[in-house]
Formats: sequence, structure tokens, C-alpha cells
Amino acid sequence: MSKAMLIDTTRCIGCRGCQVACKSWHNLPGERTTFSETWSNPRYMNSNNYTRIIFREVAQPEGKLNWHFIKRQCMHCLDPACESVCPVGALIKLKDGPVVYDDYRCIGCRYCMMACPFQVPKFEWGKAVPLIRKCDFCADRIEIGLAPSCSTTCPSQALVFGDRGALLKEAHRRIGAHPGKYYPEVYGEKIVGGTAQLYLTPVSFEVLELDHRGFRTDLGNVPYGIYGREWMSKVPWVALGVGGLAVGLHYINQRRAEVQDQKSQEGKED
Amino acid sequence: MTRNLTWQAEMMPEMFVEISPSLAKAKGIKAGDWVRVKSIRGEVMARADVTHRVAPFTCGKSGLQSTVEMVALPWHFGFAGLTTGGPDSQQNYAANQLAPMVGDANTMIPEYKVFLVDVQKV
Repeated sequence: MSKAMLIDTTRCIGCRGCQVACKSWHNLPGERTTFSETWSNPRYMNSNNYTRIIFREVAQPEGKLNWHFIKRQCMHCLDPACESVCPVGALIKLKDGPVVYDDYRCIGCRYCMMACPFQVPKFEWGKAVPLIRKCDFCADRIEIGLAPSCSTTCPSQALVFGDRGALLKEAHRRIGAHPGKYYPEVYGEKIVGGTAQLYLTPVSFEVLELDHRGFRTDLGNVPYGIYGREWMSKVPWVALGVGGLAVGLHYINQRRAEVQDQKSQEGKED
Repeated sequence: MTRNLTWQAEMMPEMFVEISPSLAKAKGIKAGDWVRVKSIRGEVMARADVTHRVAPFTCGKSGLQSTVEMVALPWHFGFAGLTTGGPDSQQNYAANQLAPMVGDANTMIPEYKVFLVDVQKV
């Protein structure tokens, strides 16, 4: 059974323990940052930050103020676009759910960064031999029966790890049991064919102004792996076609030169 | 601890003061600007965090009411650690410099939480 994580943003208190737990488990260095006006710090996901909490202040017309905390990391799609476009198979979707990355296979083409609809894979721009870095859903922990480190450290059960089917049922139970508390749609249930990260938010991602910052809502329900495979399956034929054309042109040119040589030699004999 | 661990220092690296949008507009302060927070005991530099979370309130007897702006400072930074609260590691960015040294003699609890300050644009 595929594992998943239910991220109930109404339960999040914005402590950012998940950010620390992630860096602790993956042994990532801290950054020298400056004050961030929204409190989201570090400001971007990069090769050293696999997850971050986005703070959003939404003032309602009746004067009520809501402060939302949205965790962002790899969505671990059920049919990932990054896996489908990887020409060397460095990215693999595991049976348990994580989309993991093999350092030794990667050739650094960055197709996965282009293909990902959530802009998740990040490149190690500062290194001489750069590799791709992203959240791996703590695949090593899941393998030995532990929950990912972010959900283990979460003090308010905003991040719940479990079987995807059971979590979807729980998400819909919460929506049904608390009418008006949640936006009546689980982000990640159907989008891009389903993801392993299921988001429950009090308002839509358009209201949070995150629909163009990693939580696009216009992606449709078609698995992005289908698009990726469709394009990548054409690559060998295009490569063969271009190569064949080049060989053919070379042959024609050579033949023409030979004929011209012969003609000029014939001319000399006269 | 939180100032000596890089993973935590990166999350809130600089001293800040939460000010309401109305006060920011009146003083001409933009979000993220450095401001000087001053009381009669001392002053501290801080980044302006313009937010609706702090709002002006009205207090006083009827007829003598006035609207008071509220600002909020964290007690977190100091002279030691990886982050001292600002770019100058020699400068003290602790909110303690503003607080009065008074306390309740019966309960032995110091009154550090509420005091009068001025916010100045730098």
C-alpha cells in the first residue's frame, strides 16, 4: 500500500520544527539569512532546504485575521513527471510512495527541474559536480517502518503519515465533520493523477496566493508522467533521424566531391 | 540554544518589531526597513515587520479617549551566539535595553512585558 502524508494546515502552529527535523535527518547546513517580512525563512527551497513553511496573512472583510502556515516540499506524485523524463532513470518512484534520486546515475541534465509542475527538484548550483536535491520523503526511514522525520516531530499532528487510502478517508471525514472549516477539496487527491502529499486548507490556494508559487491549481487530473513519457519516447527517433540525416548529407557531399574530382581529372587528360 | 544552532538561527536571524500598517504609514516605514525603537532607558535597532497582527486600540475614560498604537518586540536576541540580531555582531539587539527594572515585591515577578517606546525611521 502506498504511503502518504496528510497535511492539515488548520492544525499547523507555524513552529517550523519540520524544517529543523528535515535538516537534522538529512544533515544539511544552515544558511546565513536576513529577516524575512513574511517570516518564511529560508526564503526559497534549494539544494539545502527540502521543505519550508510559507506564512500567509489573510485579512477577512469582517475584520477577522487569519494566519495560515503552509508546508511546502516534494509532492511525491503517484506518476511523477520527473521520473518519466529522466533519461538515465536516476529518479525512481518506490512502492512505498517516495520519489527518490540516485546520485550515481544522474548526468545533471536537469530535465526533472523542467518537468516538475511544482518546481521541486533543485540543483546544487554552487558545486563543481552538481547533483539534484529534493525531499525524499525520508525513504530510508519508511523502509524500516518509521514515519518521515517532519511528521515525527510535528507537535500538533498537522502532518499525519499513513496509508494513502486511509488518510484520504480521514481527510474527507474532517471536511464532512467540520463544514465551513475546510476548503472542500483535498489538494493532491486527484491533481496530476494524485500525489502522496494531501493538503487540507481552510481556503483555496488562490485565496492564499500560492497557486503560482508551487501549488498550481490549473494542472488538471491527468498524470504528468504520461506527458513526460510521450515526449521522451520520441527522443531516440529524433536522435536517430537527425543522426541519419547528417550521415546521409555527409555521404552525398563526399560522393559529389568524388564525382567532381573525377570530372576535373578527366578534363586535364584532354 | 536557538541562537547557537544554525538550523534555528536561519529562521529568525534578525531582531524585529511588529508594527501596524497605520503606524507604518504615519512614520513612512516600509516592511523590512531598519528602525530604531527607543525608550527613555535605551534604544535598539530592529527590522520593521508591518502586519495586521498588531493593531491600534482605543483606551481611556469617555471624553478623554485616545487611540494608542501598539508595537510588539520579541525577547530573543543578545550579544552572544551565531546571530546577535543584526548585521553588527558587536552591537546589542536585545529588547532588554528598553525594559524597566521594576518588579512586584510581593510576587518577585519583574515587569518587563509592557512599556512605552517610540519607533523612529532610520
